[in-house]
Amino acid sequence: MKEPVSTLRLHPVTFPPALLLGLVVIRLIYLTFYAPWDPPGVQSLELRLEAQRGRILDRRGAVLAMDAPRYQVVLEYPPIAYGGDPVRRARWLQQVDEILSPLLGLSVQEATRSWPDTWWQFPVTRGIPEDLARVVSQRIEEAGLRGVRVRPYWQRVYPDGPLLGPVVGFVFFGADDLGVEGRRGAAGVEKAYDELLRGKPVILRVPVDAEGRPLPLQEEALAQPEPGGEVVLTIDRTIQAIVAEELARGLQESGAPRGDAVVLRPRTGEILAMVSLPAFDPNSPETLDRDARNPVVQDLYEPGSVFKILTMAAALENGVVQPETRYLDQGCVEFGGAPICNWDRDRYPGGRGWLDMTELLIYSRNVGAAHLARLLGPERFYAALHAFGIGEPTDVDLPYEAVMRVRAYGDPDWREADLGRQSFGQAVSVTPLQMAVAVSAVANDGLIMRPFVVQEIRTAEGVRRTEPRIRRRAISAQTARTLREMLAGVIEREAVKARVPGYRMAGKTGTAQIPTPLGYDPRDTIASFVGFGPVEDPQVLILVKLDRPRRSPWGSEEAAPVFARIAARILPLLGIPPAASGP
Amino acid sequence: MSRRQRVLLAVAGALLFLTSFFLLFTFLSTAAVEQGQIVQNLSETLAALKRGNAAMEEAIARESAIPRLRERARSMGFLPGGESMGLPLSLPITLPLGDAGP
Repeated sequence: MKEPVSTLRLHPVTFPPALLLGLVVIRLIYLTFYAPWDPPGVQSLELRLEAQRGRILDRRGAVLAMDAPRYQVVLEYPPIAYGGDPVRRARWLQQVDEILSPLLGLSVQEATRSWPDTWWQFPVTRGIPEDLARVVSQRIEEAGLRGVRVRPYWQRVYPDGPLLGPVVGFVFFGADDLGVEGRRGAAGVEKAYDELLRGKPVILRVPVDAEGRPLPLQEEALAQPEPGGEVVLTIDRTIQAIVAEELARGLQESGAPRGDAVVLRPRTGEILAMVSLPAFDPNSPETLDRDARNPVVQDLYEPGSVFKILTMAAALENGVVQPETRYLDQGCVEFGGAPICNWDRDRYPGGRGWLDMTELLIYSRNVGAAHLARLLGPERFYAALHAFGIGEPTDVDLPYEAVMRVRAYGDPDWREADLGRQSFGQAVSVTPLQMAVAVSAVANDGLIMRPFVVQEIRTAEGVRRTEPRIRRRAISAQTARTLREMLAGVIEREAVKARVPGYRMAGKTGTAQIPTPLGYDPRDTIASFVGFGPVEDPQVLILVKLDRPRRSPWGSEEAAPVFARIAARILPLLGIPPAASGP
Repeated sequence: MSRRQRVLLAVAGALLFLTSFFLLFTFLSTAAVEQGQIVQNLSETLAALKRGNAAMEEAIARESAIPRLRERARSMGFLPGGESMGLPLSLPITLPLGDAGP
């Protein structure tokens, strides 16, 4: 019987091709499903799709910072395309030059002189607006030019320029803590809310053909970068512009080279304006040198007589004096072995005689403030400074807040003379914002609010509003009301240049000496004024500070009028009508 | 049916199956590539629209920036608030009693 022949048996001649075919199939399956997309030897290009950074808006929705599209012309000429032939490369460059130079207004050959041989790509020019980018792209297409691309990118734009530079800040290109490169906030709100504003970029490694053209993209290449969230500030751009205008006028009239001003709502801690002049322009990288900071938050100064508000508040709060308590004002007294004199000791060598507490503030008596410090004693005095937040950050949502420790009772370097000097604002350093926040307690019935500049954050997840937050109670409501009336007297009876037509305001002048390594500057001063109003229901607090005014050194002469002009213009804007009873 | 006919039929069936399979595969692949290109084009259009939108927004922001507004207001004859505290009234105000207001 004949055995059946198996059809599956392979002939020895067909076995090798079948094996080869099998190997090919296995390799194809591997390459299709398992092999890495970018196998070694395949040239690829890293494409970074930058996310659109979120906008920064003022409280009324005006754009303060945004990402706008700009274009760059990039040359791409991988070595493989010209086989290392410099003649071909030069010819190609010449062709690019002839076609693009008239449009771009620059010599492409000149611009590419620094193009290293090892680079595939080279950006010829950046910052091209959309209409020109369209024309260039069209020309490239018409001429069939290869290896030239017009690529979009985002550029940070600040429409109001220096007006909000110190508050909004600026961005720079650099690496973060993890070494990932990209645009980072470097100062101001841009820095404080960088994580939220920056969004999520997409980074692709795209394989390219021999001429550097990307091969058809994979699915993930369709991923769009995630734009950043939006930040809405408490800053009112109109108020900011008014404050900047009046501060600039104050600088011009007084001859001061620089100055600061801050406007806040004492009831909530919202900062409505924060101005420093001269200011840097965040649109111009060349101005972003060491001055690109926010002095209202970052610069310390000795506040001088405005600090007497806090000394008086502590004395009233602790019951050591009443508004009608009188003391004997002498021209100079000795305190802890050091002399303390009034600023007008030349005019009143023996002092002004018996004065009550309101008059102490009205005539800004250094001797009187030292008298209060002596009555309080160091423990109660420093406890009061702590209650007002002196010597600690305000916790404002801006970066790099400066703080200087207060040399206090119990510290090894403390001397009794420090107490006397600190009572009228010497030997203690604060930022303009810290001073404004401390005084805001008097305007807000004794409560200190956390100051803030961001009122709303808008992301894909939703909207988050910043709620006003009480930091602490500095003094009782009764003490605050009493002190408000006393400070109203300062404007009504002495600092007349701080009067605001139609409004009853309260405030205090400050004329501070400037400490130097060799002692206090014998000539220059810092003239300041801090005030709030209307006294019956304080809605706004304004601090004005002029550094080294030339015309007059006094806060009452130079800073007070700036305060008055700012208040007169912004109070109606805030919907606060003038009172019939006002001056 | 002879053995030879059965073999031919089997081969024809297999060829038909393979041909249909390849046709279907080719059709689906082409469709996938085509759809991919459409999606990619849409994605690029979306990105271009976003850029165009941002460019327009920038133009609006620039035109409504404070320095620009101030410049335009000046060119229209307006003065900044700080420079004029009130309107200069030089009218011969002798309104009749009925129009004088409360």
